[in-house]
Amino acid sequence: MTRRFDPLFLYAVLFVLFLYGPMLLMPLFSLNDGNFATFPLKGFTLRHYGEMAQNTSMMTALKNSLIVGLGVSVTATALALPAALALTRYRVPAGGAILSFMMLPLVVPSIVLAVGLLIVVLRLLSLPLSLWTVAAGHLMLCIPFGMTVLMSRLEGFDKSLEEASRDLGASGWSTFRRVTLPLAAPGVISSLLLCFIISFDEFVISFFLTGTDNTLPVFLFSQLRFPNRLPGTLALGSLILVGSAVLVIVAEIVRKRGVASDNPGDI
Amino acid sequence: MDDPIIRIEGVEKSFGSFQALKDIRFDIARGEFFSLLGASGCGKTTLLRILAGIEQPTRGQLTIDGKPMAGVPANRRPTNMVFQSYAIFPHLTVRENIGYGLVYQNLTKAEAKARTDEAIELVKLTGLDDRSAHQLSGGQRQRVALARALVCRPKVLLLDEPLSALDKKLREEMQQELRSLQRTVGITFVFVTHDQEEALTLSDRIAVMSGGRVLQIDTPEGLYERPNCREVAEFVGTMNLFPAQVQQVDGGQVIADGRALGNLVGRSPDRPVASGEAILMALRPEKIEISAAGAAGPNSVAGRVASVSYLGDRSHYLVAVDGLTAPVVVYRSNSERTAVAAGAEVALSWSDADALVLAR
Repeated sequence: MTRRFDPLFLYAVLFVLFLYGPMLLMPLFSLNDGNFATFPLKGFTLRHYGEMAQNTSMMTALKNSLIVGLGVSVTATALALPAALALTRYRVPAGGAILSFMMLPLVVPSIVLAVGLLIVVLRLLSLPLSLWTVAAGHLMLCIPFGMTVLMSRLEGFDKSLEEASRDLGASGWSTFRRVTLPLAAPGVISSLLLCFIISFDEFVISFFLTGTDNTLPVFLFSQLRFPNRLPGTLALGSLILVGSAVLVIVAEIVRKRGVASDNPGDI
Repeated sequence: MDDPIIRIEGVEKSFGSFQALKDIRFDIARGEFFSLLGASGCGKTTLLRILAGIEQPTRGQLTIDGKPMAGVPANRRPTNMVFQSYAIFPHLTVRENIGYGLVYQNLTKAEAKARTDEAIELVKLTGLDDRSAHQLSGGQRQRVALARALVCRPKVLLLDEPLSALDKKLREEMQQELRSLQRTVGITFVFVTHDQEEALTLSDRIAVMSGGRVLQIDTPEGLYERPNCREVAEFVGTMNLFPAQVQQVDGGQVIADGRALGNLVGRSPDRPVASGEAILMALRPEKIEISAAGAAGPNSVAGRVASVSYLGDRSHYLVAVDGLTAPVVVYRSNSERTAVAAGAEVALSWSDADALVLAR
């Protein structure tokens, strides 16, 4: 059977190109033997990757971002889980209001949030700006994301599972450990990944709240003034691109497995 | 009742302004198969959840096996429950599901394994140990839920409409199995259902509930033959109701004026009946004789057959009678050879002892 040409197929190809084409230029130029990101390409080289590794301030910024990202994702998820449990499992007085309040950072522009936090940190608390203040700002931003992911997961499973566990002799804590947590695990993993990526990628709050230690986005922004340092940045960007693609694929596999085990065959 | 396994004294439950249970009080005997029967929203599941300790009563007292249950959480009660959704843990295998509660019973590993093996065998799931929940059929999931509860050796097993999700054939099979299982293990079963036939088939005694109250507690035969009110009469089986007015109470008999139906004579109820009281004469469809002869005397009315449904062993007749809004339902065994066709003028009659007197 011959397939007729489908104009929608062309549309889909263009759509994907539009989305991902610019991003793919980054690894391309990172392997180009030249200091400027322009065509025509001059030849293949890995030297930008070597330069990148030797750029200690860039590596420090990367390390800072990883530390802040890891710390924030774990803390935000740990704080969001009990809140999500309370709001999905129990009749909390004014639960709706509490939820809307917790979701506020999602809708407040981050520039407003950043300025507000800066005033709080410097004027009210008189704390020095550091990676700690950056992490605190990220935490505030990440908790609502973690809540959203966890709540949708917790709402998705039958409450009688937890009741059955209690009925079979398990205490509240034991039920949490043996039933709630394993079932919420895909949500917990999604929350960890999402919070990490938000923190890793965050610019505005970091820019305002950081002291002398830069996170990666802030550092990269400062480097744009020096064209000859661009290839190193492209090399790092390419590596992060590969890293995030792997993360997203892993997250999707975990999520799919979670869905499969929760929809036992129809009765 | 001496030494009941469950004693419920004045239990009430409110959710906000909605009163789900009103002054519930009754006992359940040891080893009994006891059913809570009622339409959805009648409070039967709420009562079961209170027995399990998942919900707390707003008022009243509950005693299980001689111990007051106030403040005793679900995990410390001698009860286990089979949930309507079965609540099989999706992340665990069949064996892990069934052994879930044994962790809390201070058993050695070998003892726990032996108990689990025994339970798997009891519910005929041998060989499916390593399956996970989503690889099981509805009937198998139901067996896992049963085994998981029974393996804990509860004093009372609570079952929340465990058969409602199964198809008819499987449901009937499981009814038989449940009943024989209950006799084997000798545990008290408290069974919630909205299916009156299921309740009649399985139970030693049944509590019929409506609007948060218990209307009547009796054996299946007692409920069917001697319902104490119109609601029970109509919920359990089919009942023909003829409005009438009491003329005379004479020993065991009530003689009433049925207007267009003539004089109606029925069996006196347990409660006192006064002359002049408006009542309902209640008759089960199979207690009514259908004949071609003309109507004469009390408990005999003329009518015309509106429709006939042939059901193999018996036929169902709807007979239109002047003075009644609803047609009279009559069941007749097909072992009688004389056929009655739709449109035929017939006489309906019944014996005094089969007519019940219910409050209007």
